[in-house]
Amino acid sequence: MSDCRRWESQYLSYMDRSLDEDRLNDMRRHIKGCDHCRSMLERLGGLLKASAEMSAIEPERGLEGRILARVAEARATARPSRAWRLYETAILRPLHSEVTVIVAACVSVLTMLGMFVHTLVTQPELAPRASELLSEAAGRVGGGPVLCAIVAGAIFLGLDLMGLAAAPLLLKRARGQKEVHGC
Amino acid sequence: MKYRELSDEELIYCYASGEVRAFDIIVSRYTQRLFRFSVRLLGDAQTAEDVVQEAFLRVHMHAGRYKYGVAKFSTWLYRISRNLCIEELRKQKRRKAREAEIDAAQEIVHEPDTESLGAEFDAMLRKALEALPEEQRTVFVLRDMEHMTYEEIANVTHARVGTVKSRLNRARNALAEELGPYVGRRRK
Repeated sequence: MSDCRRWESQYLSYMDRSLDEDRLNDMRRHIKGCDHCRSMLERLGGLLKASAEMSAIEPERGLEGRILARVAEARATARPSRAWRLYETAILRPLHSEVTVIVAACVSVLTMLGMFVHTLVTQPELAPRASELLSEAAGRVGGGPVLCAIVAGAIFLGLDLMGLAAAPLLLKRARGQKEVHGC
Repeated sequence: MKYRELSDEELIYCYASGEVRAFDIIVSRYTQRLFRFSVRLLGDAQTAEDVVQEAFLRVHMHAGRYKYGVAKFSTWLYRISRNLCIEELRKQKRRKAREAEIDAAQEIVHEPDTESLGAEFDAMLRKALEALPEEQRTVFVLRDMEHMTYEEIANVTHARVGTVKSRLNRARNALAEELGPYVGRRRK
């Protein structure tokens, strides 16, 4: 019996046929001479067969319908407010399109470049003196605000350029995901 | 769109993106399986139905949180159901303890519940399953009745494959001991 305890832990592998050749032969030899293990394995076989037969329990009719009704109810009660829906339809959805992303990024970059070019054309004297003017302005209002304005402008332009560069990648990824998910 | 051709994972992604009809297919694919699973864990058809409804409700609420490609949808769904079943079993345990206290106080003896699922063996197996610890019962039901792989069961139960196997072995041995003569007779 004490020997059987050792084999009991192997019943699962034996029934799954995952024992290696040597172990399998050892177990077969043991089972031949052991009434307890033979009877247990017979019971286990019967149990698995009986459990598989028990798989035919069915729910009461209409359960699917009841589930869908309950979910539909939850969906209806969880509806967003009218103001939010209006905002979503009028602003969010049109903005949340691929074309809008590209157009917004292009407009933003072109505006900044346009302002820069316009300043150069209308006030050419500013260009060579830009650094002088900046240091003058810095002297007048203190270095902090001017430096902040320059850094903010640089970050803004950098983000614009990054957005423009990333847009095609994001679009490709979004399209790829849609294809993968099939909807 | 032909939703029926989509995988579970694609369907739940569609549902999270606002395609309401995708949910119908998910419900039709899993209602019976989840019901069977819950009945075996809980031992009561009515409570199992409530659990299945609640599980789908949670899927609806958290569809956006499902991580595509990280775990199979079915594993996620079974995990939700299992958690609900455990919650229900705890409630039942508390309720039974309270009822026992009341009975003792009022000296009322209840008749045992009538078996709703009928057949003698079903009742015996259900009773034997109820006697198992929850971890062993879950593993037995998922493997031997729902035919999941060890890896899937490990995901549902948050356990290692080795642990799953040893729980299953213990569950089977206990059930075979308990139902032994009966399963032997049935087999013949």
